[in-house]
Amino acid sequence: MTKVIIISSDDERFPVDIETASKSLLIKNMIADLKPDLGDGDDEDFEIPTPNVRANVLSKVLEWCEHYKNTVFSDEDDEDARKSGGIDSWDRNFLKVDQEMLYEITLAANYLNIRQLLDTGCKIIAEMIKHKSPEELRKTFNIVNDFSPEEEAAIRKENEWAEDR
Amino acid sequence: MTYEQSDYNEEQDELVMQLNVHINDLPSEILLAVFCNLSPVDLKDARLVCRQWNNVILDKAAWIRAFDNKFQTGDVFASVTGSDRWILEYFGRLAALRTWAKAKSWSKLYSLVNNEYGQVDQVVADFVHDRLLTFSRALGTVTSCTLTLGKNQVFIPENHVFASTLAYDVNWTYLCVGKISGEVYLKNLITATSSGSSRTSVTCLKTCAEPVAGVRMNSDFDKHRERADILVVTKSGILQFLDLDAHAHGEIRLDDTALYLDSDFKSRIVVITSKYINVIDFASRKPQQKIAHGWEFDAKPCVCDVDFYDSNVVLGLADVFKVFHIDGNTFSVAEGNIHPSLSIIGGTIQECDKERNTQIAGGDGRLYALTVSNGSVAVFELREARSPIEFKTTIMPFADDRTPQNIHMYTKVALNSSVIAIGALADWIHFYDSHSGHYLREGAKVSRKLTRNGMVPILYIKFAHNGAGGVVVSGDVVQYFKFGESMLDSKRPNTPQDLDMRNKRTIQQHIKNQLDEYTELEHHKEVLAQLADKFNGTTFENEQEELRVAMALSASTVDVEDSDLERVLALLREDVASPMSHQAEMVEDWESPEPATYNIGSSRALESAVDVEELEDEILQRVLKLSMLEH
Repeated sequence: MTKVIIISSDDERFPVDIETASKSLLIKNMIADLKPDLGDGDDEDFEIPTPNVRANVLSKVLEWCEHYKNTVFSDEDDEDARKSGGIDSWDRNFLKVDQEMLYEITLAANYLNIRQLLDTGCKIIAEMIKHKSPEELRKTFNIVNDFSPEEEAAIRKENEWAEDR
Repeated sequence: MTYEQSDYNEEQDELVMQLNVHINDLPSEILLAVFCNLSPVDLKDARLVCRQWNNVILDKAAWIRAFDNKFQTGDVFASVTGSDRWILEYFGRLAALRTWAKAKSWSKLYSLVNNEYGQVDQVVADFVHDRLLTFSRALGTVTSCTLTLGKNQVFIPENHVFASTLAYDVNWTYLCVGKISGEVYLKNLITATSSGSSRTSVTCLKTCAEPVAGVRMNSDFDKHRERADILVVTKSGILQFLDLDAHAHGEIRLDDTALYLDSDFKSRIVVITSKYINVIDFASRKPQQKIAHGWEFDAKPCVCDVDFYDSNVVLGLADVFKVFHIDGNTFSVAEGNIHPSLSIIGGTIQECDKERNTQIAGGDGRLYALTVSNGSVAVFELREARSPIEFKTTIMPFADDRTPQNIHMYTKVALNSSVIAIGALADWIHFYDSHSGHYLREGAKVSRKLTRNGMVPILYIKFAHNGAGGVVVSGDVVQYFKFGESMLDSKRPNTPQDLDMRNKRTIQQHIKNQLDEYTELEHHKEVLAQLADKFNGTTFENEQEELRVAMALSASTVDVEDSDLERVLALLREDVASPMSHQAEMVEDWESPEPATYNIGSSRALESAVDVEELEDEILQRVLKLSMLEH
């Protein structure tokens, strides 16, 4: 069967099924545009380079695609429920990775246009932000406070004002 | 070189590692997508973390992208909240859509006494003061009533003066009509309805030599009658300024066949004539601009609306529509078209009552919906329109076996910043997201009997400007609907709705009052029991004493019926959802009932009194339990 070969930035080759690769809208559109007859007995494999995704990130992303290969996401249908709904336990386990990996997966999902994975990634990052003070957040994400005291005071004031309304 | 402690997963050992990719390496739209999962409280803390986060949370461009991704709103869109804070708008829009789509619907259907064919040409609905007024051009009748319940209906019957009317305008005080014969009449609706008034309600303002093509009244009229509050334009394009006492305040010759007249009575007057858009400065009464619109109309075009708050004029005919933006002494025009095989049937402009403020989230857009001959409805943003005008969404209305034939002939539309209602028949109305076109829900259920099996075409739909609700006028049947809020206080129509009643303190006060009343009632019962003992067990010193006790007993009985009980319970339940403060009134109501009939000395009265007492006690306990539970 014809495979799609996705090549990572460090030249590792990942042969995957068309269905798996099609979870990425970018790749799906690419196939539709360049090789619409792919899979109709065409023996030639189709190579797609992803110059900004590292091999270990790409393997994770493709693992996700493989898992959801046969799942049809009701994308537009219930936007509200999808957005407010919790995170699937498989996804949660799947994304139990270090921060750097999580960001890279999210970036790759954004680049490859895999909406569900991007949403899940964002939700997990958001969970890390929830219920933390600014100081805790800086520590968690290793961010340097680059505000001047005046700026900080101004924002605090603005926040108070917003609360009053 | 940065080090980092990952504490997001506590089961994992705390990792200390070198970070190549930092959270701030994520592009701002991803950061924003992350922030969109947070509550406003979390966001306030997030703003204080660093400049980049603060910038992302405040960044307009990023927000426009985020809104477009989430709601398909485009660059300029109408705000739900009217706030300049994108984050508030974001949550406001989510909440509004949820209410429109999911909240429980409630509706009140009533019929007007106007006429059985339900000819209605102009409808004025005032959600703040809870009133509705309809005018029928063919019959010359005016009907008004309370908007929510259809109470206090006032019907002003036809008058020969109002026959063969060409132009009309109606507000809460006056009806103004322009006739083919050239007369302009003003009818005072207030004196016309008060029966004792000897004043005549109709005045002839003006007799023109030719048919009157358009009249407009300032609804905020000058009581001193010095300002020109009435505009009249005749067929040949003579625009006249009148006040309420029929004094002329000048006129302007436009020298073209006038078809449509409108004004905000502040800045501008717009007269659409056969070939031109005439813009006249209201204060100086001087023509400002004369724009050739490129058509040669012989009647008012099917798309013809003026957005005074941002100086836009929308015109459309056949398959082409144009938006003219007037800016001082210049103008710009944007053009759009639908498929050439189709034609535009009508247009609906989004309700708006404020000057445009581009600072608020979304740039304060205003939507316009075109009704097309294939039954679809196409929505575009009329402010900052650029050629070719693109539709935000094209909605092919929901179709099922109840879909009427030739639906496009009847299709009526109402839209606001979050939803669009498309309806044709009284029981055939559907709601969609006005930006993405997603189907949201069906309209509230209507009684088939009152609407003659639903086969009454809708004439007018209007949304309330706050909250998810509105009014649908289908001929003589009016439906007032609301999503998410239960029935309003039926006792006091006409009072402006106080929307901030739902605070904790009121509820607590209600509970406290009820508890007090309960103790008081218990006390009464005790006294009553003592009296009864006395009545049953002891001999009375004299007849007068016996009479007194019997009277006291029967006076304190309560005439409670099952229906009353149900009413109280139903009302209480509703009150929990919307404490409009009639709870206390209701309790009082059946505690001080009509005095029971005096059946002096009869033991039957006493028995029933005791029964009723037991029942009453039980009711009270249930009511209290209920209210305690639900709070």
